[in-house]
Amino acid sequence: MSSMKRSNSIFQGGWYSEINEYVIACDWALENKNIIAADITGNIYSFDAKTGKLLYMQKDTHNKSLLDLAVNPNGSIYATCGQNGKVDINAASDGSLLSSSSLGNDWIDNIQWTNNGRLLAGSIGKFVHVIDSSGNQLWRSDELTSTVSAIYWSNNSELAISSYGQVIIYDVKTNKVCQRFEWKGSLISLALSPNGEIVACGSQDNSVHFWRRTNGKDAEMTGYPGKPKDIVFDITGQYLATGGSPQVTVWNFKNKGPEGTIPGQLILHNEPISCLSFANSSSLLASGAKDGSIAIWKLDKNGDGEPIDKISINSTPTRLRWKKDDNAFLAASDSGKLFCWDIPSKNGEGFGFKK
Amino acid sequence: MKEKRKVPVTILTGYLGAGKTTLLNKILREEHGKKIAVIENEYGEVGIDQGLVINADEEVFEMSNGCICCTVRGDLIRVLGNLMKRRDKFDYVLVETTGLADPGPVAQTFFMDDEVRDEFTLDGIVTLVDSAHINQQLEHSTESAEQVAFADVLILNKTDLVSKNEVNVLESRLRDMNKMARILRAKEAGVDVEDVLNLGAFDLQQTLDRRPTFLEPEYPFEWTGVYELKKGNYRLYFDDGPDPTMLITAIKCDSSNEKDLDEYAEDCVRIFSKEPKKLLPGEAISFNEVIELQLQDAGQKLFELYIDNKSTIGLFTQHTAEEFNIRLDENKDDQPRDKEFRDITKGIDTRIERIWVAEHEHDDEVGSIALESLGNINPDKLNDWISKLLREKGVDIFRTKGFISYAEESRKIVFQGVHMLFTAEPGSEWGNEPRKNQLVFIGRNLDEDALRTEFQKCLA
Repeated sequence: MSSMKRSNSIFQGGWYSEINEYVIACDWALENKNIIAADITGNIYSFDAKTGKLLYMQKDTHNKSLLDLAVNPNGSIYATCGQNGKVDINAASDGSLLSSSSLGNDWIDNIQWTNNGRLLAGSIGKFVHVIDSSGNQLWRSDELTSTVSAIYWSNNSELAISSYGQVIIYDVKTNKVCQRFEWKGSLISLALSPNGEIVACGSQDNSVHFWRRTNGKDAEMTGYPGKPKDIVFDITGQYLATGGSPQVTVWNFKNKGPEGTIPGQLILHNEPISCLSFANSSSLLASGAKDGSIAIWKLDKNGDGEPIDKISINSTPTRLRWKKDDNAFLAASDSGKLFCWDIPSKNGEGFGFKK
Repeated sequence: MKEKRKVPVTILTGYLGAGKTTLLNKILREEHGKKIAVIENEYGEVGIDQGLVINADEEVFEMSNGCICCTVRGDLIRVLGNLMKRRDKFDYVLVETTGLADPGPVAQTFFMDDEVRDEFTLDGIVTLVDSAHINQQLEHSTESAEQVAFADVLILNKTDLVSKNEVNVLESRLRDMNKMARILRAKEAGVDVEDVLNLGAFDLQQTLDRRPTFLEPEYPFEWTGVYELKKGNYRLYFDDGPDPTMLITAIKCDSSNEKDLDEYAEDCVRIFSKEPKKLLPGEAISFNEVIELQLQDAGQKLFELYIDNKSTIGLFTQHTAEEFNIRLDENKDDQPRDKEFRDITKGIDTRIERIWVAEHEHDDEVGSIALESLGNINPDKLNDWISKLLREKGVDIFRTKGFISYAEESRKIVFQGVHMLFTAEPGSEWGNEPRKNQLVFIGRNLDEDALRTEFQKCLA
């Protein structure tokens, strides 16, 4: 663990820690006092968010093959999953195992909590399971025709599931299919606008496909040089930021857009985008790329923008996470680095690293 | 940021029951010091300590554009994506496919998916065949023919279940379908791990080093034995073999130098083009004639050969010596005999032996065509031709390999292709080697004449 101090930068000091293994995920926990991170080999770490001090570590979970981590929105528990077909729920305070749910023998590679933190969805092969925060299994999808590629809660009971050729939206409480959107292609990523109206998917054939739920109309954005694996909506649902190239492409859904509009192009990175994250309360966008660079962008009304600041971490960022109030920022990397920076907010207050 | 070494990947194919699982188990048990991640086609368990075994569900993803070369294996992309994150845990990947899998999408995944291509390199395709059943499978299954066509290495497994002659005939058939493949024979999938990993199959020079005859012209004979004989009477012995007759030509040679054999072979091609003279067992073989030996009778058959002076002689035969257990020995009165009065003889050792690429009747739809020309190729003409060819016929062209000489380039330009996907990269330096161009197409219903004509037009 080391401290960092940079002048004239939005990345105002903070700390970083060396985990040494590919960091699968990281997030804030316990009212932003702690940070939980997990690496590919099944090690889970908890750090003091202000100092970067390692508070505890759990070794070799999920048979040394962890695939995802999700901190519950209430911050007190977190879930992990892996190649052993289990979802574990742990206490954020000390990492103790609260429950372990076996969903099958296949890999579980996506887990996501509802916004109210009551339900957790996990995809395993061609199925999606939903458990509660105590690990009780509540629902299982029908077997899909293809392996699930992504899951996304539209609200606290509606779950969108993408796979090869389709997106299905289930109401898990009534066990009914609300909607099904078909597209002949391999859908690899999924994001819903905050109001649930827009369902957007990155596709294996270097395109982004989206549907409007109210009228079922769909559209496609092509011309990406690579796969748009990272697609994120901002908090307002106006902007959809997408990877798939070294530049961030931002589609503006305002009025009649994005159909017939030219997207914003955020040019700075030299290699393809590896992760994207919008701030929680503004249109600030963080982007990471394979060349090890991270940038913070301020978008204008059209989705174009300038980088406010950039930094290089000399390894590919794997996850970017804003603190809930956006005054601090986490970045994890494929070489096992974990960074935490102050981000000065509008009133100039950051997380407190400078004090 | 430091450059990452790409992880080599071997694809293991083979029709149902060919022995893929047996081979995988052998590889995983063997002490070879390699950390191998195995992607199985059926459910496997994760065991990092003894190597990583992962199951894949063989999901073939077609793209919305419907293009065959965009068809990839989605499960592989997912599994390899996760493996990429743990690079230091393995140094080799082995992908097993089901017996009914089309190898195309598997191979194409390593060309088409940017992220997979950045981290992994397709090292080769190994196809196991069940020697006892492959002939029937080839008649009834397009998959088995495609698996043979895609192979860089063909392992003829279960050779203990069929006769040596049947294996010889099978090898000949498979060689016809795929000129490029290295062919190994095995019982219970007993091959060396190095025959399956580190193939360097996409390194054409390595392929040439391993099988230097793959672009040789075809000959009407398959074997030559050169003997140095003193004056005397000799006998040529045959056991039962795959054919009731066999063509043979005996010639006198000036030397027993390996390098002179090509010249003698050209002479024999002319002799073989003549009407053959039929010869029954017990009769004498004359020189400089094409002779059709009558081998219908069961058991040992022999033909006389008279040598009037100390000579170096060459026997050019339609089949390999192995297929008929051909032996040449002196005609001795005290020749030991078995209880059925057959001569017991091991035969005289040859000074030189050569297996030739033999002409075959191309019965299979799937075959391979080798093109070769001296000189330099015009890059624009070649690009136009190859692009058009693969666009129009790419569905039926499974593999393309070769190297080309461009006048302006000091290095060989090495080609690799799977269906319509095609890459060309500079390889080793030409140095003092004579400039030449070689291309091999393996596919279905290939038009050899058209390919040759178009290829010749590309010469600078």
